[in-house]
Amino acid sequence: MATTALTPRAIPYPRSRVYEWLTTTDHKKIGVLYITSSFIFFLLAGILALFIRSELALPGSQIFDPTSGLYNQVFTMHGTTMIFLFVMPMLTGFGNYIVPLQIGAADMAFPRINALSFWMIPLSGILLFSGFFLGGAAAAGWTSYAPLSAREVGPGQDLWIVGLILNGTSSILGGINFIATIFKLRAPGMTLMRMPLFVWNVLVTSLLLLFAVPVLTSALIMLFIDRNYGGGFFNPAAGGNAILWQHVFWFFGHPEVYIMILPAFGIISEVLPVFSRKPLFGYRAFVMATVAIGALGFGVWAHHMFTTGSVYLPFFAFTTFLISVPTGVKMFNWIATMWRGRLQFTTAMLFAVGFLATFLIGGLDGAFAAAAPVDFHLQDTYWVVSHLHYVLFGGSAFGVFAATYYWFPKIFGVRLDEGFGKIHFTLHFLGTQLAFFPMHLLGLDGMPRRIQDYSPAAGWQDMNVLSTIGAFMIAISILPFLWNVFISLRKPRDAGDDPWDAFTLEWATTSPPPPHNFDALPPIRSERPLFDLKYGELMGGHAGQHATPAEAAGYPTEADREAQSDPQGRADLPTNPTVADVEAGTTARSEAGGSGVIVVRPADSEAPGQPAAPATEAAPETPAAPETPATPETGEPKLVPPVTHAPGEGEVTSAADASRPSAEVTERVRRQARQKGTPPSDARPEEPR
Amino acid sequence: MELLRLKHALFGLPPRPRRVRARRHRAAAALGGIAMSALLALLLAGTTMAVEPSASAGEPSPSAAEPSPSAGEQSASPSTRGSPASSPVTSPSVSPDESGDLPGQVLSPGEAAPPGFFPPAPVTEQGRDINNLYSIVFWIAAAIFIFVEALILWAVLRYRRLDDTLPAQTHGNRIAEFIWTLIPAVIVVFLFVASTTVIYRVEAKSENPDLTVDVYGFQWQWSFGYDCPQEFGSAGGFTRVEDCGLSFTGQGAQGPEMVLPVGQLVQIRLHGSDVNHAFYVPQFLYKKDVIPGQVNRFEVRVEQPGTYTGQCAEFCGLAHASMNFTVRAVPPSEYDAWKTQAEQEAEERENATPPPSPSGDGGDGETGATVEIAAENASAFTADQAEAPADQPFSIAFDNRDPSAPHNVSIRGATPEGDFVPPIADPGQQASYEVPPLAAGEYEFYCVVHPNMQGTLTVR
Repeated sequence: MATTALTPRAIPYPRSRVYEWLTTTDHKKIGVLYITSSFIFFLLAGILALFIRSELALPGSQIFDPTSGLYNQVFTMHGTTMIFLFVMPMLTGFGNYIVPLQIGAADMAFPRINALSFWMIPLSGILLFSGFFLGGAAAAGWTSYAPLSAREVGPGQDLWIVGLILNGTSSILGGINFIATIFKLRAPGMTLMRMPLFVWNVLVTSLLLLFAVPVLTSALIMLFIDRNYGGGFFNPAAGGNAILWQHVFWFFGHPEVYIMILPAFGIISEVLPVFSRKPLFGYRAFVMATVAIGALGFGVWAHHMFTTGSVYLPFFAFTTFLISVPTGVKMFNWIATMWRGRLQFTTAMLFAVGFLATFLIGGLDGAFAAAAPVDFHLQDTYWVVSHLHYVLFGGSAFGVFAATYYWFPKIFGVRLDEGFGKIHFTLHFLGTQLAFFPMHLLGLDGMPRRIQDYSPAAGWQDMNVLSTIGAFMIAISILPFLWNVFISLRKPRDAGDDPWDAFTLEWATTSPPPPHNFDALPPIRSERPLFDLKYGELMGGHAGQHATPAEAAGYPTEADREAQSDPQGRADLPTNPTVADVEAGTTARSEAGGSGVIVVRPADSEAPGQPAAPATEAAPETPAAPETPATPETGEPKLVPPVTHAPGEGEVTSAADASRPSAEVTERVRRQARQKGTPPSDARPEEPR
Repeated sequence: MELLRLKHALFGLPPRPRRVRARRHRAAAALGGIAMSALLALLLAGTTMAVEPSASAGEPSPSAAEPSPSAGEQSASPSTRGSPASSPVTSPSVSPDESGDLPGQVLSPGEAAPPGFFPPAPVTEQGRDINNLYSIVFWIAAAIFIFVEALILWAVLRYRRLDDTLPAQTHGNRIAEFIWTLIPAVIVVFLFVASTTVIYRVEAKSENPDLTVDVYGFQWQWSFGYDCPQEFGSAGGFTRVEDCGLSFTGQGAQGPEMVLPVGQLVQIRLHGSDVNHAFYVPQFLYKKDVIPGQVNRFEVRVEQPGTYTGQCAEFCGLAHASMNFTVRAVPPSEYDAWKTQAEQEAEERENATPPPSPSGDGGDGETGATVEIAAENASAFTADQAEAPADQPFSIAFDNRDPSAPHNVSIRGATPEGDFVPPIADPGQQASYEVPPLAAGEYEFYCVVHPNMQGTLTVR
């Protein structure tokens, strides 16, 4: 629909594409920038990992000169890069792209801060890596325990500190941005308990970032003072405390673990239901488990310090054990989500199931580490390396690849090739087990971590060879992935709006979405608005046949949640803040979102007699069709085209581009929208909680 | 399967009628299935591999045999998973008594066991407690692992999409969710109780241990001291391990040897001054950090005579990987003999005048333009004083007699850019360093690898 509103901007300002990307404030472009830069850092850190594994395959020093300390620099940079430049920004990138779409917003709350947060990431990466060319990168491990890190000579450690302060600032800003976006920009009807799980996880992650990262920053500043200005925070000889660093670092460091895994949990919670054709089992339990993990995450830091002799062991053993309960709930609920579903094994689904199978090991490892006496043996051995890789690689990285295969068609309008995807998954999955499982056994046998060499008499060679083979398998698995991305981007962009027949709002718009994201939004009456739109009448019509055990038993939760069991959507009206408007047949308009999405629900009884809605500037060319009455028999929700402001771009774009390939759903949505016309938009609902 | 049965039992649902399988086989489902069966097989194979050696040894090893009943209970039914709380709690307290009579462990100590699913056979009383706890956690975790992976595998194979109909849209089930919150919580509380009892046993400190050994860890070597002054127990009291009645500083990659009497309660006090280290003996199943500014202590009662290797476990910089030591446990009589002999040897060493006198090195510097400096270990140069002529170039003849660690001789503030840092000499290597002219005065020389190796170069 070309609109009159477009006329002033009909001639695009001629800007180069590079300039466009460098200056963009569009959350989607920033998301792609995040994802791309993170992937480059992933490859860099992966190459470092291959060097480490090659060195460790055989006893003796084959690659690194033991006197140069290069090995220490390499594993320090591997860990730092993977955590701060790959996992965190990668998940932030997906959050950036997907969260506004999933809550029906047009952009992040602070688009310019969003751009700022991103551009700090490559800068911090350059600072960290520049150490290699300036006399040696940081070499004290990614945990940089003081006093070692305070005594290391050379600029590498200082660059590391400055780089991480910058990186942390980016995370804090990003966290604030997500919190503001999620609390203030949700579409009407999108209550907190209807948010997709990914949004919930990003929200909790952002809160964790906000509370944890400043603590790291304080530690880094203290370390910087110790190193450069004669401070003594961590120097016992000067009255400082050598343990202090570990307390401060892990008070950040353990929530950091959840910062890295929670968004992956969110991704899995999106992918599993879609490819199981079922809703998430126990949505409320998932939300509560996510919040519980976030809260408990701040009470377990000292389980990294069981062997220091300066923490109260039973307390931290207990909290650490405790945190496995909500994680276990998630695991069982994920499996219950698949239970009796119709599982479709796309590559995204394979990665999600691979996540379950692999993360389980990392999670169970947690019980060993929580038992403090067992940890006395395992601490600082390769067992810990195995555990953290099962959690972060088997968990977060699997989540990242699941997200990549799942959202690629939304981002680029074309699906990744499934054949290459399955080759990728197989190699990746087997490589992960082969690379990281033998490390458990090595650690149990007493091989310490962060050693460049080990004695041939120790009997550790076989397992190390296996592990190295696995690492190279993972590296090889990336090649079909890269090729897959390359060939897919050269294909016609014909994925359509909703290639997976998915449930959440990001699939209600085009692929890729327009700058303002949405022309229209379906009504949001559950955590699966798009499912309700597509299958609402079907499920309503067959509710009896598909009665679940709980429905049969008459549990109230089911009735609450099952919007489709009530075609008019009245079942959940009491929880909808716009109930009065809906009952009156008037409209609700979201001011907060700036997206100007207008959703009209017909008042069921008097739908045919609804007064005509005056057209607004958003849809001037809409034939002033007499408002077709809602069709109460089907209960189909009615939609109107919105006022389409994209705050980030300052552009107004046409609401619907007929030439764009669009899925049936969107087409239907638009058709109804055109028929309906635009209603008055004065009614302002309260802010959805 | 259990879950399904559980749900049927709880909600009175009829068993789901078996579906007619479509011939259309989903390659992807098979792929996922194969991958996960491989994973399961890997674990099962590894478990049997790890269990078999201990089982075949004939002697009932308390570590391997004791937790298996609990494992049997674990796999029986998920609903009874809380119940083994009673049996394993008592068993660790029983087993020490049993094996006090039967000290024979499966693996002969000192012999490197291949990596398996269990830690090396413990050789201390405390290690046995830890090993028992490990076994409890392991079997519970293994049962949960097999149960959950089987559920995943079953879901993947059984519920793959065979048609396009929508399945029942189950949003949740409070009872089921309550059950799988409660059961892990019960397991967790049980594990907490079990670990706390072991914490208190392993971390117990006695007022009067039979023997106290002081350990000093530094970059990248260890010193062990016997008969040390009592004030070493407080953080500020520690000065040098040389003040002890008997002391050993490690040389080379094999490090020093700690000799302990079997069957006696030994308290080990850990001191550090530079960075964090960790005193780790895998066969003790125990490690404790060496932290500057605080004295950490722990107690062991070694039960098995033998030689056990130990290693620094906390990353401490460049030569972290070669920071080794050994612990040799001998019967008390043998220990007494060893100690008497060691004391005699130490006395003899002290009486004999050290052949390479420090002044001799400096003397060479005066005669010509060569200063001789040598290093024998990573703790210090052989001499901490040297002399060189002023305002003329001279050379340093550096003899690295250290069998393990690389060293060099750097001079602080010797060049306009900063320090004079020549190449590092590998173990056993001799190097000659050409030093630019220096103004008269005192300079600090040090080893760039070991910042703790320092000395004074007097230029006149």
